Amino acid sequence: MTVGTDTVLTATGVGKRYRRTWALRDCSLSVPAGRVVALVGPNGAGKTTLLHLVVGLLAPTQGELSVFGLPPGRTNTLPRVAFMAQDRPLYDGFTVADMLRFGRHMNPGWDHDMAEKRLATLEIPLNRKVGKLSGGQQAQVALTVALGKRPDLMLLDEPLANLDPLARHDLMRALMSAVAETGMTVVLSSHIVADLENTCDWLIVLNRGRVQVSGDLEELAGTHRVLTGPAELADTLPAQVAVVEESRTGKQATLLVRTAAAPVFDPRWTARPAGLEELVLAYLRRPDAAALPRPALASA
Amino acid sequence: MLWLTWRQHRSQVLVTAALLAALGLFLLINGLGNADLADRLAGDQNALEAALGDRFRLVNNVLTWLPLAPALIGLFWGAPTLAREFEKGTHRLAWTQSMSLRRWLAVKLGVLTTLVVLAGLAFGAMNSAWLATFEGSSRAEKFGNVGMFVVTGVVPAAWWLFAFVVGVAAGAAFRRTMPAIAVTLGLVIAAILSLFLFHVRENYATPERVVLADPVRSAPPNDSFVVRTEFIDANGRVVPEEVAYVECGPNRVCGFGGIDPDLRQVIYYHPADRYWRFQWTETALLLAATLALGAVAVGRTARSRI
Repeated sequence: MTVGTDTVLTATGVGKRYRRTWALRDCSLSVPAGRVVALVGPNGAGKTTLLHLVVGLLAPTQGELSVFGLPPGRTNTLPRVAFMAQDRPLYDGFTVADMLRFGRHMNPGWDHDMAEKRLATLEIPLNRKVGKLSGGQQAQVALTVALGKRPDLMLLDEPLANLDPLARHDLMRALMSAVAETGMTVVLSSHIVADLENTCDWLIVLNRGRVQVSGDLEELAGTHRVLTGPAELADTLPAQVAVVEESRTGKQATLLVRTAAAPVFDPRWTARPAGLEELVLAYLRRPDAAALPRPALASA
Repeated sequence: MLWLTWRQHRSQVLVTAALLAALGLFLLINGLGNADLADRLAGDQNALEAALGDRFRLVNNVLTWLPLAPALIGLFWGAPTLAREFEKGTHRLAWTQSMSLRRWLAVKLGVLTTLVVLAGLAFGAMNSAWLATFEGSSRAEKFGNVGMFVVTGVVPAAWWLFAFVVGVAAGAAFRRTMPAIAVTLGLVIAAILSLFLFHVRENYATPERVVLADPVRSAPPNDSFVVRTEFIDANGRVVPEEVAYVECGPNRVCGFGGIDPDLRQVIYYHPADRYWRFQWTETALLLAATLALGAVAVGRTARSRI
């Protein structure tokens, strides 16, 4: 598994319609290998739909998706992709050992030793029924079943929802140590941005079924600034500066702007880098704004 | 995948096997007793008939309910198979492992279908063998007695399979266990009853027609499936039933049971040797319905998977 310019996931004009409503429209993005991708957006933005398309549970109404250069959901892509679905489904009546057997019987590349060791480290008893475990333990079992497959791409749909802070932390730590060991690509969705700060290096913002932002987090941080200054300056910004969001209180204006690589602002502005949460919220409030991958992305 | 199917459905398999074993034991004990009785009372037809009648009724109290067994198969085997996966969201777990949905469906439905058919065949064979111990008495009817027709031979297997697939299809359509169970029960019982209520079975072949020498006292051949009876006069014209029954009075010769002695009774019936033809006809009908429903279930599951 190489971390480099390989593209794990590509979507070109992908749309998915349920009866009359479009859950996802004109979605184009690509995810390089070895990234930990934060897929964020409000509830109903299309995050789950996108993940289900990638894992092959849904077929797109339009456009094309490829995973490792192949159509998703086939027997040649499925073994390389693990999916931890929303609510972390497991068979409640199975024991933990049964869940591991499930993984072993359903996946030729299953790593039984690793799975057993992980659960032993977490002190989760193998003979306990899954339904009798705590929410945090169930999440760990679900993650173990997904990791046991030894995937190159791991998709997690709201993996931290309904977990207490300690369990959230433990699960993220377990996931990140697996990433460090294997170098796999991870896409995890959440509607809580704070969950993903410090762990992700690629950001995709979905809003109302459309992709608003898709790019390297460092690059995004470098090109987005929060400006605070006199309100009258807001009307005379240079042309290459795009205002994502602005708010004015009296004579004071606060702007979140996207700029070229090394911007020079009027000295009366106080400029600081935009935080992840700020950036995401600014885009979500302005569904028509977008920061999509430029053709130059490949050279980044 | 075989292991998974077994792990998920082992309770149904074990309970069904246990119930079949219990029924088998019950039938075996009763049947052995019948054979013994036939040896001891050989020659005394009336005593044998009476003794066998008692033994028959004992088992018949149970067997009377077994034409409804398909409803249980649909309920416990069919309905939860897909509905529970959808309801608990575990289909998103099962279908995102390394195996294609097509293979998951093929193995799961293939194994369960095979088990249901084998169980149905065992059930039919046990009942057939038990009924055969009444051979030579009037209780041995497996064709004239429709309650026995549906629990012997291959027809039970066809009904069990049909009910199973109704349950699977209902699960694929409703995706929740309770509605799937309710619809399965309704549909299977409606199918069982409608064959009786709409007289479907009698149309599997054109009935034979026989004119009895005596309106009542001569019966159609043993174990025949009587479709209907009517009365004709000397010219062969059909006489309405209310006319056939005459008032008996001092100056009127009255027939047995109050039937005009000048009339003859006509019976339309299917003779006993059509048993297997009828068994296979019903099996073919149910298989056709099963295939159609199975295609709907698989299509619905595969088309829109979430």
